[in-house]
Amino acid sequence: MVVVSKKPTLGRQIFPAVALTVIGVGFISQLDNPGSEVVLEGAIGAVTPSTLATNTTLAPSPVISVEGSGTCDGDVVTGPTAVFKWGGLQLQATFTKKNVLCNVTVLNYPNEDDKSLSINQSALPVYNQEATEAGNAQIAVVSGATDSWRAYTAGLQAILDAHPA
Amino acid sequence: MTRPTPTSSESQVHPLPAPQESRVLDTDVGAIIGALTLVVVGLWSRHGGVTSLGDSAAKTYTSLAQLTGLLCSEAGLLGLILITRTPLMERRYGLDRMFNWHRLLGEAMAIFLALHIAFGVAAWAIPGGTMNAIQSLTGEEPYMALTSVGSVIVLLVTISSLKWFRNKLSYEMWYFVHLTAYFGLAASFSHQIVLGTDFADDSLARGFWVAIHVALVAWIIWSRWGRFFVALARPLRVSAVTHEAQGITSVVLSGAHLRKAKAQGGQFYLVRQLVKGRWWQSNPFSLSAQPTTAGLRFTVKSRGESSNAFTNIALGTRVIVEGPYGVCTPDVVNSEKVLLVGGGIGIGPVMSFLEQLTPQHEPIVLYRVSSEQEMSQVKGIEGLATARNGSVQTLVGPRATLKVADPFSADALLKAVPDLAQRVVIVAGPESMVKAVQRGARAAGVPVENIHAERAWW
Repeated sequence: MVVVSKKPTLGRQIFPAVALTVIGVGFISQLDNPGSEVVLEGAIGAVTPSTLATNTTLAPSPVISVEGSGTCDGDVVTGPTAVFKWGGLQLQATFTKKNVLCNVTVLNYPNEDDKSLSINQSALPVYNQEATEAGNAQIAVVSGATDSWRAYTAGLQAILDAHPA
Repeated sequence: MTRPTPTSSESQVHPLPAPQESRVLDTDVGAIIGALTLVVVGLWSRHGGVTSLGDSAAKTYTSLAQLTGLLCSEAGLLGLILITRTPLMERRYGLDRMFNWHRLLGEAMAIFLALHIAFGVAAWAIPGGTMNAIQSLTGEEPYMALTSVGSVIVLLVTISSLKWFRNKLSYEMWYFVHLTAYFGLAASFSHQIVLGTDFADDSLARGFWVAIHVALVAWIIWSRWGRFFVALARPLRVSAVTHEAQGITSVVLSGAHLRKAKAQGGQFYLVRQLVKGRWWQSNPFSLSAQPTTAGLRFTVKSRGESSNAFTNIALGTRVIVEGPYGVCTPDVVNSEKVLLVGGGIGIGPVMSFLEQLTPQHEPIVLYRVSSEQEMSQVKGIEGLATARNGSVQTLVGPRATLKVADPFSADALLKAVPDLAQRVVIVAGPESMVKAVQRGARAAGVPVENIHAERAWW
């Protein structure tokens, strides 16, 4: 009637932990790793407003831009290209005479496939709007466009760092 | 489908076999919790959670919102696994401990949920202010309206389960509030998939997350509803009702399919009468006799509306039982001598336990009861104990009239049972008495692993 339970072996005790850890680590390593991938390429330059037109026409992807409040009659700074998982994203920021960020233009963004195109076309104007309103790179993420958000904020921060107010 | 209960002459009565032992080890449970935590934190870190931390405020808050959201889900998943009442765990830890852990995980989930909401609002508030953030997080963002409703429900469920509120609510009220948690959790699932950066942007992670949720839902449906319907298809019937003492009644449930059941003395069932207006209520009752193919006997004290319904139950009433549950069974005793302490209605499980002991256990029974009128079945217990080379001592009267302040102090216990330190102690009764016995027995030199307590379920 009385069942004397056998003491489990050390192997029996350790095996599940080891097996599950291996499976867990294997699973995690298979996941996308978009966290560390934003690489800034190219130099930053302050350019005169006249070059803006040239840049715009040369831009290989459609330009998305939002006008901010105030007169944008200060420096125009073209940022580095933020290269991330889906391609490159390049911003151009315009400042007022008082060096306040007043306009952001996207010169380049990943548009090679339909998914990238639709995500970016809906998210980038929002980021432009938010950045112009905030006057800095502290902007909220749009759902589904996290990778673009990382590239965008990295690129914009680089411009702001190079162009202190 | 249901056949009339066959009379016992049809087949020989024999005790039910013991339920299978669980092969699950503590290390297995630890490994599963550890691996799930590893995957959840790994997901977050792999998707840039760690690198975002030192970055801008927006990124830091977003990252923290993600982490707390994932941990909130993990606590919820683990808490739900416990309410499947899987025998794998129940046979090892007991239902009451699983319910306790469920409560702890529920509280952890609520804390993570509050943090998740706070960090989420903080992150969204950076461009447009707090009011803007709240607006977009309760409506504008996809699925967030549904999620907001869900999180309010989950928070209400947690608050209603805090001891202070729980005591103010009727069981029925609390139970229905608690049931809405399923909806609350389901309502918040879609935002994890659509908005949660860990899942929206990574199809492998999304597949994994959906898969474990679907598996859990299937498991819950089977274990909570599947088993219920199986029991419903072949209910037991009340075959005997005996009045034992003032307000105390024994009820025997019989049915043909008990021949295939497994149970042991000391265990309990969740019992549900199939009577209009009561079918949705289940009460935990301890077995008060060794379970046999002839029937399960429960001894019930009338102490509330739903237990009154059992003390006045009619013969032939259809009843369904879920179980057996409980780990304080004769399995815990090897060949040592045994001390059984039963308080009040806790004498029921003590009796069913006693019945399965043999003379080598020389069982001593301490029966504590607050009034003469509530003493039940003393003759029966004495008969059982004497046949097993043991004895019964009763301690009657309200606490204030007792000669010693604490009848379960080490001194008092040793006086009653001189060889206490060599015995396995089994105690069932009200919580305060169980604690007093545990304290006294430990002080008298009984090793902790030799003290087994069962909450008295009635």
